[in-house]
Amino acid sequence: MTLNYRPHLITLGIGIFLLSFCFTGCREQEWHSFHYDSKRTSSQPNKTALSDPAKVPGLAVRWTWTAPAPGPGGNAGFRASPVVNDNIVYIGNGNGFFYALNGDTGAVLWQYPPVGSPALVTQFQCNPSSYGIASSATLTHIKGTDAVIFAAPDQSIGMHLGDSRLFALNAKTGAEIWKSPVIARLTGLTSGSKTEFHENIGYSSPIVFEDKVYVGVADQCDNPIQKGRVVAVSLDTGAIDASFTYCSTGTCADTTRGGGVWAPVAAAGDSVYITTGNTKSGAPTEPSPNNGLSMIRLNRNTGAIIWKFQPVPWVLDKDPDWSAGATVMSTSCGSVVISTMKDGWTHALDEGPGTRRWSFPPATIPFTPGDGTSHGDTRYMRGGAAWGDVYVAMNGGLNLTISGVTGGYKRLHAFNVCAAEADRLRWLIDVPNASGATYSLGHPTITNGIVYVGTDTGHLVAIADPSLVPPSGFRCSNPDVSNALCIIMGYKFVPEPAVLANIALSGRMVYNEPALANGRVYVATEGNNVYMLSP
Amino acid sequence: MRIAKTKPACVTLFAVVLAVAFQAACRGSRVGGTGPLPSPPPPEQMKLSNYEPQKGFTQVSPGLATRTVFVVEPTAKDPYHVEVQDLMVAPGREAVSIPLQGAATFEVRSGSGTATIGTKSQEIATGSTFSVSEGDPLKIAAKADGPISLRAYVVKVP
Repeated sequence: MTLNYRPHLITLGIGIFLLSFCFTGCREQEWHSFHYDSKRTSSQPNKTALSDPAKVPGLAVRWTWTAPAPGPGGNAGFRASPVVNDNIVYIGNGNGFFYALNGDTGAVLWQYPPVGSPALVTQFQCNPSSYGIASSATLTHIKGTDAVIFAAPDQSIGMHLGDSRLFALNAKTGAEIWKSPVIARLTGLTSGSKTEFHENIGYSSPIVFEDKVYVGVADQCDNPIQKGRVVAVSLDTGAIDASFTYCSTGTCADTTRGGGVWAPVAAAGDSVYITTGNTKSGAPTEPSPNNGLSMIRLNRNTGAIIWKFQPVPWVLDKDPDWSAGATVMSTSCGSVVISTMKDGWTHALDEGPGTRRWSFPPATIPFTPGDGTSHGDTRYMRGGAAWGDVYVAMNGGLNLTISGVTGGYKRLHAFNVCAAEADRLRWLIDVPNASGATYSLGHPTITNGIVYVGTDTGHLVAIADPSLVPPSGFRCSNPDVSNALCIIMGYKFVPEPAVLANIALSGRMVYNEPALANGRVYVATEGNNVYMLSP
Repeated sequence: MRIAKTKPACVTLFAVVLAVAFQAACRGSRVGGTGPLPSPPPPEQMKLSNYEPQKGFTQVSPGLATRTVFVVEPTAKDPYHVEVQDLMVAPGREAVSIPLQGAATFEVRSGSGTATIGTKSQEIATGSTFSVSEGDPLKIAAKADGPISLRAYVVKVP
């Protein structure tokens, strides 16, 4: 008897293919990067208990881990956010050490540098972006090894003051795979010096895309502003990729300044997407070219600009840096690149040509002198979260030009990205236990319509999209207008979504995002704690 | 022979169904359900939220709502009454008379429309400024597509 193996082999092949595809899908329950993925969607697409409205009210702290007290040059607290893979939580602390924690218990698996080694801190400290390790990590594979990559200052190189570089470590052991050369230069400590480099990686979390790692370079709290750059290094070796160059002003070699890349770089297709900071900051003339205060699409291989969107011209630049990064959304109306500027306006662009789809609150763009708008150093600084056609973010709101710019600091808006302007605003909520002060909210994240966000009073709040849970009520779309006057004054009622959980933790969560991995919330605070919560 | 061919096909089919089912259970819906929400219920059935603006507007006449932002009352030494006031005029109405307790400078903060001082009219939009002498009648009309909001800096000289 002759057996025919061919059908069995075909079956086996198909089975392996499908299982591997499925395995890949399930692995996405991890949280591999700041804002989840290279598109920076801040969205966990897989259904878990965290996206089940019936289970979320049962959310509770399962473990807490407190980082060791800082040594010389360090600062207590987490400004970075956790990333998660294979039940290991990775995060850097203000004390200048990077930790891997057991996802079940919070026990330290390893730390880098090892105990007794100098901390990764800088001597130029002026705001939390320069406190130890403020940049969130990203997880990847390097030559078949699970690896974690993060940015940090390192006094062992350059002028030994704390130049920033990238570190790639074995994710299981913490062993070094590579260390990049200096990426952000710190060549002196003289306040205001224009002859020293005061560059900083700060909050710009690195992202791996194809064979490169991308990270943005900004400055040390505008003291003074530096030339914004994006640097790409080889994923395999950490060597700087000289074929990729991007500088925000003038040429990379000249002395023009500004356009810091404060926010995480996003990547999709053949491009990377960045947002940039201001360029004016006392400069007598506008640099040329001036790519500051812009959302920009770059060729991922060369760094060449494909398009640039600059809503605030130089003449109106009062430092409304783009502090939130770009999110690349796959929606029913195509690929949309979206972000909110520090001035409170959210802008959505068609990803292909970079043409503006809408702005909220509605506005004529570019802004012009005398148009009644103001663009200063205000605090709409957090990235948004994307869920299908929905984008959730801080925003100045419909009263932005009426009441002044600060009113929305504790408010989340959800937008219908593809809808007509009349239906743009999906819902609106003043997040409970957010004070309304300048830094009130952290970065929101979302999983299948449940939004998670931290507040400045140390609360973690879970909010349900009204398509999942009936709203707690309806309120006027303009936060200045009472319900009684809403329709009379020409506004609409919009849902105020239900709050499913509101849990008091310890320490502010205004730089941090809740990582939603494997049905658990991992969140860090400036109170120096990492928490794991689950329903 | 027939069985030998059918069996692997069944296994293949089973594997496909299993994997697809596993995938569906594993992954959430990326886009489904994220279109615009249904329209709010009619007012009589609508549950309103408890939210109240910190400094809300009060309707002072049909189509006009105001709020006081800042006031300096006159004293014996400084007899000037100074008031900063926000005004909101509803859309789609005839021009609304604006009561003023003195001379005023206006700044349009949102929307567009027409300001009529006495018999003289001018188009106004966000960013526009204009002034009104004490005693001059002022009417404002908002365009039909939205309200117009203004900030008035009113000074009454004794």
